[in-house]
Amino acid sequence: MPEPLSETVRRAQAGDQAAIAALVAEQQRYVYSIAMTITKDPADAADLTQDALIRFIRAIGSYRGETRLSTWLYRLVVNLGIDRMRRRGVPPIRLDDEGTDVDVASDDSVDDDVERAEEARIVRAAVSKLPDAQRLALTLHYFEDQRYEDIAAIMGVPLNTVKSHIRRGKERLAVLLRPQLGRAVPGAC
Amino acid sequence: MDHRQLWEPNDRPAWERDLDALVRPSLVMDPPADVQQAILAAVLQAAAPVRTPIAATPVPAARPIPLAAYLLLAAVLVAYVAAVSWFQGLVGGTGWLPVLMNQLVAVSDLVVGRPETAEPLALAWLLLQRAPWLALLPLGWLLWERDRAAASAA
Repeated sequence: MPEPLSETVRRAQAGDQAAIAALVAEQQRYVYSIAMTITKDPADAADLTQDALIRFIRAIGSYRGETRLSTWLYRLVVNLGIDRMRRRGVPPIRLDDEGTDVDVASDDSVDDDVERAEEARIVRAAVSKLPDAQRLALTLHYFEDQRYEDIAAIMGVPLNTVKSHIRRGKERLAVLLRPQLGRAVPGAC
Repeated sequence: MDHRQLWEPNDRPAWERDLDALVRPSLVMDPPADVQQAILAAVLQAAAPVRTPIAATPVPAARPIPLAAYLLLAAVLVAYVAAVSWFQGLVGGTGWLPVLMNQLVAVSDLVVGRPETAEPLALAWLLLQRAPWLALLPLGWLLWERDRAAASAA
C-alpha cells in the first residue's frame, strides 16, 4: 500500500523550488555517503550525488509512494553508481556476493600511523577494506531509519543476504577496529 | 530516540553496540559545503521548468522616411515647375507666375475637367469621380503622421 506523500514531496512534485531544496538538503548527506561507499573518491562521489539528485528530482513527479521515498532514491544512487563504475572498467560490484574474506590478522589491521589519525578516518579506512556488498549494506544500515527490508530493496538482494552482509561486515570491522573498541570480539576471529 | 529501536532488538552484544556507536557517525558524511551549494544549484536549475521566453518577435520597425526626403522631393518639383514656367515666360514674354498658374489650370482641366458645378459637395464628388486617386490623400496623410511619430520616438 502506498505510503501517503508528505507535503514537501507533493510540493516538490508541483515544482516548488523551496520544497526541492528542502529534499536535497535532507537527503544529500545520505546520497553522498552511498556515493562515497561505491566510488571511494570524493570528487566522483560529489558528481554521482549531483547526477542522482537531478534524476531523482526530475522523476519525482512519477513517485506515487509505492516504496519509501528514501528507498527509491538510494536504489537510484546505487544503480547509477554501479553503472558508472562499470563504464570505467572497474570490476563489477556484486551486491549478492560476500566477497573475498579480508585477512584480518593483527598485522593487517589498521596501522599504527592510521591510529593516530582522526577516528572517522580510521573507521573509513577500515570500512574500505570490506567487500563492496558488505560496505554498502553497512553504510545503509547505519542510516538512521533504514530497515533490513529497505536495504534489501535498495540493493536488490534477498533479506537474508542483507542480514548476512551486515553481520559479517560488523564482525570484520570489529576486528579491524579492535584498538578503537578496546575489547575482545567474541567469535569474530 | 533512535528509530532503530522500534524494529531492532536491543539484545546486541556489547562489542556490537560499541561498534555501532563508533562507525555510524563516520559512515554518514556530509559533502563539503561548496559541493553542497553546487549540487543544490545544479538540481534547482535542472528542476526549473523549461520556460521558453516569449520573445517579442522583433517587428521590423517601419523605417521612417526622413522629413528631408519629403522636403527635397517638394523642392525638386517646385524647382522643376518653376524652371519650366520661367523658361516659358522667357520665351513667351510673360512672367513665370502666370505661366505656372496656367499650367496648373491646364493640368486640372486635363485631369478633372471643367467643373460643371460650384457647389462644394457636388464638386468634391465630381473630383473623386474624375480622379479617384485623390481618395488616397488621407492615407498619405496617415503615413506621413506615422513616419513623423516614428521619427520622434526614435
